[in-house]
Amino acid sequence: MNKLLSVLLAGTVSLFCMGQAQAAFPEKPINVIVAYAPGGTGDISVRMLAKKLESILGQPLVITNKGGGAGVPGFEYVMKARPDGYTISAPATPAFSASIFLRKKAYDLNDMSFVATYMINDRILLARTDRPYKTWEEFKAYIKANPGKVSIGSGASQEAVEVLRSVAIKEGLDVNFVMYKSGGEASADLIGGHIDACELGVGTAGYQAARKGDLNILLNLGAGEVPDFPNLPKLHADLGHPFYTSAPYAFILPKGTPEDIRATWENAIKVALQDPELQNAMLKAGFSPKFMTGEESKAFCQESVNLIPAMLEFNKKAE
Amino acid sequence: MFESLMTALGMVLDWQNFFWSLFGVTFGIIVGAIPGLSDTMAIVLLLPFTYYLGPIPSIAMLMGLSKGGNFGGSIPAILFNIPGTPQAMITTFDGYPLAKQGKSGKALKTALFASVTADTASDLVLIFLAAPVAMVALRIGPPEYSMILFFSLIIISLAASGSPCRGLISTGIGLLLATVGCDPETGTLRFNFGFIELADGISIMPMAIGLLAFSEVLLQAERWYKERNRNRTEAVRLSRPGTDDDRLTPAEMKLCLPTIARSTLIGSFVGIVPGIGTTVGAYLSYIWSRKKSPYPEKFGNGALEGIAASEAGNNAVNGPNLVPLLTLGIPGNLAAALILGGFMIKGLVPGPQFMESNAPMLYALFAVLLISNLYTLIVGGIFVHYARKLTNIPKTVLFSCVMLFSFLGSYVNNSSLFDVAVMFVFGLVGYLFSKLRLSLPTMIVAFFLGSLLEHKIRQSLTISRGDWTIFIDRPIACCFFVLTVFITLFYIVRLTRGRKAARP
Repeated sequence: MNKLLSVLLAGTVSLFCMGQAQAAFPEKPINVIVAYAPGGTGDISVRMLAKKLESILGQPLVITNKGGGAGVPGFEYVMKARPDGYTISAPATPAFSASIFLRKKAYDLNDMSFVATYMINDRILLARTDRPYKTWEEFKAYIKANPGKVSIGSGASQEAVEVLRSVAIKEGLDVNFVMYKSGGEASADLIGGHIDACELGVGTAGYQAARKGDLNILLNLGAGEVPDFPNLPKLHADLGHPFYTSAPYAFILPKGTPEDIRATWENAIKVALQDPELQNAMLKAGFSPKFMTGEESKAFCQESVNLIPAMLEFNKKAE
Repeated sequence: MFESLMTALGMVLDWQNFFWSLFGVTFGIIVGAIPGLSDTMAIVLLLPFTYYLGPIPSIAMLMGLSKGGNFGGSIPAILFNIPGTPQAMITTFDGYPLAKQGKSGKALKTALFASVTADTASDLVLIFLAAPVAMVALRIGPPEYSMILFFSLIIISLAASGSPCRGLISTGIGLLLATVGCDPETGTLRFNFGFIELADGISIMPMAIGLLAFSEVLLQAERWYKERNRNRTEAVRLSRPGTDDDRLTPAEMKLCLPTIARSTLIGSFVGIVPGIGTTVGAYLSYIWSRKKSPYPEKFGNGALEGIAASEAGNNAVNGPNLVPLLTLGIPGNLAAALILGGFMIKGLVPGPQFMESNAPMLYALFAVLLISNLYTLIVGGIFVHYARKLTNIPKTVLFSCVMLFSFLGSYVNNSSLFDVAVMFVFGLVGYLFSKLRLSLPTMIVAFFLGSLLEHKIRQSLTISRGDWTIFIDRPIACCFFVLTVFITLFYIVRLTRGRKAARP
């Protein structure tokens, strides 16, 4: 009798708690901190998702752009916030590599609470269609035939340039790497023919031109799928190169956020991504929607964060 | 074609377009007129609204904001010597002296007339010449860019202020400040004094607010302190309604027209090259108009053409700036980047595809641009009528408000307190600059062209493997290089002659 009572009591209490937890979060507007200036891929994708998340969570999402410092200060602002689920960072992950490149300091991924990934921002290598090379193999041969004369641009990813540098070292290619400030600027110079190939994120102007057939895509530098080009060779998976660059755009909460709140968030993102309308809008914009749980996102990020120092070491040795 | 036009007409003739465009223009003028808040910020604030609107009304609102904001900035520039937006800083040169002479009404109306005329002309450039303009824009690669920037910098340092030496010093300081942040090639931090917040360089908004608005507060406070016993302060007189001081006479309008035409040309060219920006357009137009004027000494003391040149020059940038956005999907400036975001959220991807598959929408968009111009004229006219009376606000109250908005404006940009500190530091720098009679506008322009110049020169040299002849190998680049050398020589000759003549 006593046992039964205690079981019943425990059951009621836990039911009560669950009910409370569900009613409790979220009960006020949520701050989403985008650590980049408005208008970029990261900002636009979060805004697309936010609209759907608002209807799932039942609370308005207030998006604040805390730009500057390559996304590091904005990300750290959230990590220092109160871990109650009302301040969340997205797309947080680019800050990981930025911190390594800018100040040689890697984050400990245990110091934060991964919620979920909503898209993978892969880097791809593009070239003009009127060039004599249409594939990665042909491009390699072209570089070998014209040592020192080929310039590859970068739409502002230091990590992607290092990946390409490691490829050049491994394959014995003599190329020039031209850094740009943004994907838009690099796209213009690629389309204008001032550089021979260019590395860009999906969703940039160059990528849109490729979808229309005005540019060729030679290679995927990342590990994800590019929806419009399923047969694109992947540097790591298909060509066996040891390094790659892939940024899963994820929502991240400060360390110490209660698990049920994190799970509410994770589930909301999962449900949001199942919406065909959102899927469609993202694909139309050139983004690659992909859901990964917090655990999966963390493992994915851990792997790419571990790769960077090894890659830098590899590139340094060759110099 | 005809069918597309009819569809477009159907899309345009919707009350929503007219309403949101009006709303955008009005809000834009208000935000633009408040020092520290800019048109870009107005777009950021209202971007979430566009979720709930159709594509054409949302673009109508965003364009209205941008156009209204651009004009709004000239109101405080003329009335209080504080540009509401950075691009209006050239308008202060002649606008404020006119206001002090009791001709604020005339000055504001000149600004409005020049803004709207040049804006409309540059929109026509966008509508009819989008394809050729895009072709030219694509021809401009890193070496061409470098030489165009080099040319602009030389002109601005030598010709802008009375003394080429002070101009060069101002440019030098601007270029030095531009090196703060990140090495563009290796991506490592440099000159950031341990602040990770400076990794992207000094933010231009808080810096401009500090230099232009906050330093003016300091200067005014100093003046007030010095004159407090004399019990009189230099006040801006109100222009009396109905008199010639209050309006723009047809004769003056005619006088300004050639200036506006010239400035539209310069502004449009600046607009083709993405990233150079409205302030440069205004500055170069101003310099050229002064050069062309039969009485250059009047510039800086209240020449109507000075205002016309500045306003026409900065508004003419806007039309062509949209060309790369619509033809290639590449935003030419921050406002265009935000508008691109607005497009993409709506599932529209600007670029070559867009031109072909959404022709009616494109025509509708053009129509909306012209509607916004009309609204700027009407709403701007109403604002000008009432804004003149703002000069009656006691200076102590006015500058307290400016100070408040300086703090607010520098904070909201990145929601960062660090930026408020940046604003404060540059307020002091601006004060020192005024005391040393160095040119603030030259320094600001040099600052934001500086990082672009470094970037483009290093990109060119990477492509050529360190071979400097890349800058004279290509026709466009070579042309600008020769122009730069010619202008520099011209100034050296003039200076040495002037010195010889000064000697007995």
